[in-house]
Amino acid sequence: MARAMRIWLVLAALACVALFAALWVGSSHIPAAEVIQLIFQRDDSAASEVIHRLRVPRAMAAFATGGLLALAGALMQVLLRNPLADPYILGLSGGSAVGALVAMILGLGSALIDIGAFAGALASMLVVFALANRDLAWLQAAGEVDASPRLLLTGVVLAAGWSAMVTLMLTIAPEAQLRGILFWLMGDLGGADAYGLALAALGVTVIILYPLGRELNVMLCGPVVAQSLGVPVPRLRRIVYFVASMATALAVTTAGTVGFVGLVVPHALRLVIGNDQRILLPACALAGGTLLVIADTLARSVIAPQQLPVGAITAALGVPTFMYLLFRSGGRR
Amino acid sequence: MTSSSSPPLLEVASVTLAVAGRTLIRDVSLRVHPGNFWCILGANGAGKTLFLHTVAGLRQIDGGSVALAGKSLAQRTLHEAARIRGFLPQSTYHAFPMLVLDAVVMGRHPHLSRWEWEQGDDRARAEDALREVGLADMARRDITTLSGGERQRVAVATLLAQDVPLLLLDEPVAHLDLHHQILVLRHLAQLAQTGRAVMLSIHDLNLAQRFATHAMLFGEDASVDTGPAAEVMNEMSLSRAYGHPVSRLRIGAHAVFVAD
Repeated sequence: MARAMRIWLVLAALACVALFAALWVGSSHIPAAEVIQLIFQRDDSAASEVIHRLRVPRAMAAFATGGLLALAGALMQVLLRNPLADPYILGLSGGSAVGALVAMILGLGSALIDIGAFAGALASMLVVFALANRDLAWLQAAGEVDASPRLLLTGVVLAAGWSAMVTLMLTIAPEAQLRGILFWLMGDLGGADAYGLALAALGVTVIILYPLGRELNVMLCGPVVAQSLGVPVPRLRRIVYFVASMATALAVTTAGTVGFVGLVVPHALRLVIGNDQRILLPACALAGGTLLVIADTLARSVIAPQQLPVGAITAALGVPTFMYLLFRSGGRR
Repeated sequence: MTSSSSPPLLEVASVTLAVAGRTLIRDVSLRVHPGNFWCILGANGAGKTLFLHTVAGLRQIDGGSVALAGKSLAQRTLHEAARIRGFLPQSTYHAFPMLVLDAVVMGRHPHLSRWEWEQGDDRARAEDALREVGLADMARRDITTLSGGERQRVAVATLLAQDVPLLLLDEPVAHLDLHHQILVLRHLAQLAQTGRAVMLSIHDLNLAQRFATHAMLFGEDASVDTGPAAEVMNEMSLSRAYGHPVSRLRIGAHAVFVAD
């Protein structure tokens, strides 16, 4: 417990540093001391407007999105007992993309694009749930074939279907909207201004999951062992599926399909702090948020005034970091 | 069969097992008391695993009833059941690296409340369990780097750490070398002698004969013989159950079963 606290405090401190950097760095130069003052005391200067109207919402949206994706990734990896799982593995991002793209091609406003993305994600989540509900309750696993092969296949095939629809829509989309669509598909926080819901969801998710931490640990030993040790596996699987799906849906609605964070943050943390879900899940929320805040700050500043899609930056930052962790002295042991 | 004033740890009454429309066993009844060491014998696909899963409460009963320590399985919560019976599956698989000790500490799960973290006691119990299966020096190893037999022993240690009166094991010695087969079975027999009960499936008739007090033999046509090991394990019924002639030979003071 003391160790958990230490880890969370370090990560929280890093998050604060990243958030401060996000408020400080930008095209209109504001001195650090003034930034600190303005964070606590809002006034009607132009600098205050830039910070409170532009940078705070964008940084908070980045933090919430990154945290939600890292959490959802860690949960999907536990649910499917598969290290390759990420938040999008069950096809949720595809459904969301189809919803958002339909709204974009119809030329609807950003609020309706968000609603389209969320509706698409929910539709995808419900389709997978309806088709694979029995597999979530499935216990009899033989050997290395895990309990939910059909759940995984259902999601992967659905994702392929969504992907075909996205490609189709890209080919018929009007030129003027292609750039916006591509940014959405790579993940972009440029238009993210409503962060309250996503940030609240991040907090609620961490709180909901905390009491389930030890049961999730036991789940890693396999469904039969978990059930015989008193873990209600089917119920826990359904909870994990819904929580991870909602987290992903909100993240995608906020920032499009940002890749990489959900796959790599949980693994990088496991290599450093171990795989106790009670420590790992809150740590994912903090580290995922921090990573995306840093990535987004870079995305809007490296070749400013030109902006990059944040998804490209997460990959560029994440790949070398992850490789380093994976290969330093042959891993953790 | 032994009778006792306290209810049996496991009472199976007229249980029928069916899978995919095929009836595997019909109308089987037995009672497992503290001190019993039951060996479950039978051909592949006879329903041994299904039977163990059923009495462990991991699947629905197709007919009849199962009671754990005097109360129907259906009325017991998962949490209660996990403090009475433990179950070792035929194989376990770890997708993520985990310390061997951490895997064994999982066995303490039913003894901890939702908000509790494992304490020193739980770790000590897990370390004892590792010693009992001969893995004391592997506590800090990553479980994914272990051999099949070592992983099997880690799973047995997890079951021992669970510290339950009724131990159900599905082929606990299938992947073990000769020395560790005896080590594990001896430890289980000792647990039975000190007031617990053991029920396991096993293919080695001679090991079964050596340790079993009772036997359950899955035969032809969904019939099952149950009773004291010496009565159930005879040449004729074993030959019929396995569909292969089995003879019992005397070598000095020992009797051994040999497949022709």
